Amino acid sequence: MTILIPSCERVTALLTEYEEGALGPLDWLGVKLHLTLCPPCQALLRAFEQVPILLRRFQAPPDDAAPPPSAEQALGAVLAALREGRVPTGPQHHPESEAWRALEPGGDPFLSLLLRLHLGHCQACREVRGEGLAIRPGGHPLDTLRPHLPPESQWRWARRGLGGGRVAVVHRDARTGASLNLACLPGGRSVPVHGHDGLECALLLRGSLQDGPAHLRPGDWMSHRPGHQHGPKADPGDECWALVALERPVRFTGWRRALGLFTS
Amino acid sequence: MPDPAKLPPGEGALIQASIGGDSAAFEALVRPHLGMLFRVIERILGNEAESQDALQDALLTLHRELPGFQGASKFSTWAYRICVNQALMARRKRVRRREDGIEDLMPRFGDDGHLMKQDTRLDWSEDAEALMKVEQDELKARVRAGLDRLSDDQRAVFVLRDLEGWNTDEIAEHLGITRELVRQRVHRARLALRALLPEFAPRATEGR
Repeated sequence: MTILIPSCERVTALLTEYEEGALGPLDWLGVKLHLTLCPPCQALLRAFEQVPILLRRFQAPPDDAAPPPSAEQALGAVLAALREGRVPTGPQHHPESEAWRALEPGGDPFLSLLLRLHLGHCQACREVRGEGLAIRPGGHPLDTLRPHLPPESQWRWARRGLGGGRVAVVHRDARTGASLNLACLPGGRSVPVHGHDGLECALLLRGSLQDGPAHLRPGDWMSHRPGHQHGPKADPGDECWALVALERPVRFTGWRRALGLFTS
Repeated sequence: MPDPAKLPPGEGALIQASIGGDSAAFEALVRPHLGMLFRVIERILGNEAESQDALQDALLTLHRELPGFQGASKFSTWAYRICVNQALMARRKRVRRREDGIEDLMPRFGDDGHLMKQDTRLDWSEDAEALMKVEQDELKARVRAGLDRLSDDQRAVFVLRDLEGWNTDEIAEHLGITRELVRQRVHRARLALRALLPEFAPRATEGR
């Protein structure tokens, strides 16, 4: 090898990028030249190409293969839950029927605000529930929300350990511990995985996000029962804004738990 | 709601009936794809019990999200994506294996940067039929052991890239990591698995 041709060690480190066409022209040329002269590295490249082909072929079951017992058991449990109406709630698009009770006199004020915002976005629900209470979206979510929230000087923003996002506790019920929170998550970022000791209801106001397998857009209602763990992720691009009503504080996992983030 | 015109005959009716609460229709809709859905979850998680739980959660979510299925892709493709998401979420929740145990499987180099002789014997045949020369059960056990030695992050990336056929950009976007990190993880996993399966290389190659 001449000094201009990279060593086996260097070439080995670059093989995946070479195979993907992700190398710059000089590195590509160096690897190409090395490969023409070096049978062991040629063999390594062939191995890179062959490993996935062989593993796919070897791992693929016959077309008529029956699902394994574990898969059958999972399906059986789901079908039983559906037949018995034991379907857990989770991210969804419209509020559950019992949630609408919050609009009745004496109903939960935090949920009531979320429902009115949902009505502003959702024509289907307005047709059923009426126009009267709907809060129509307009401009930035903060412009829509300000008339319905305590003054901004009372909001308490937290950013630390929130995956690039920020959360403000805009109102807290000292008696019950319930809180209303405004959350903002930059595009492409995830909220760290966390759990809930109480019910969480939220309304997406702007942007879009993936919450588990559910994809949610502005106006979509999200509801999580106590014990549920999740880590929503904003779609790339626009910021996500959501108004979040928490029955009990959030419980982060791992080191974030020690910091007491967004929990008190 | 899905556009019936975009769906295969019968599938649209099964979806509508499932949304209406017909569990038999949901079973008929899902069962043909059940093995495929379980397989992708199991590849990512590498644990049968966890995979069963994740599939159960994925099927429940799939049922709940049916009204949002637009029919823009095949139902099986849509269901597959939901299962991948569920497996990745389950992976994020568990106590993760962060360190790989594959250092001994990495190639060795001399002081001059050349591959050492022990690695030159591995010449991978272009003929995939060499696979058949190895006992299937032994090979299965060895592949499983190899995948188990990867860190959780390496395993997820390797499975999506090399077994499920996703491209680097898709994986980076889905996992929220850089393309460079995707390539780095898949690279190390490939090196390890290559070293674990030398019987695929029936022809010896001279060192230099």
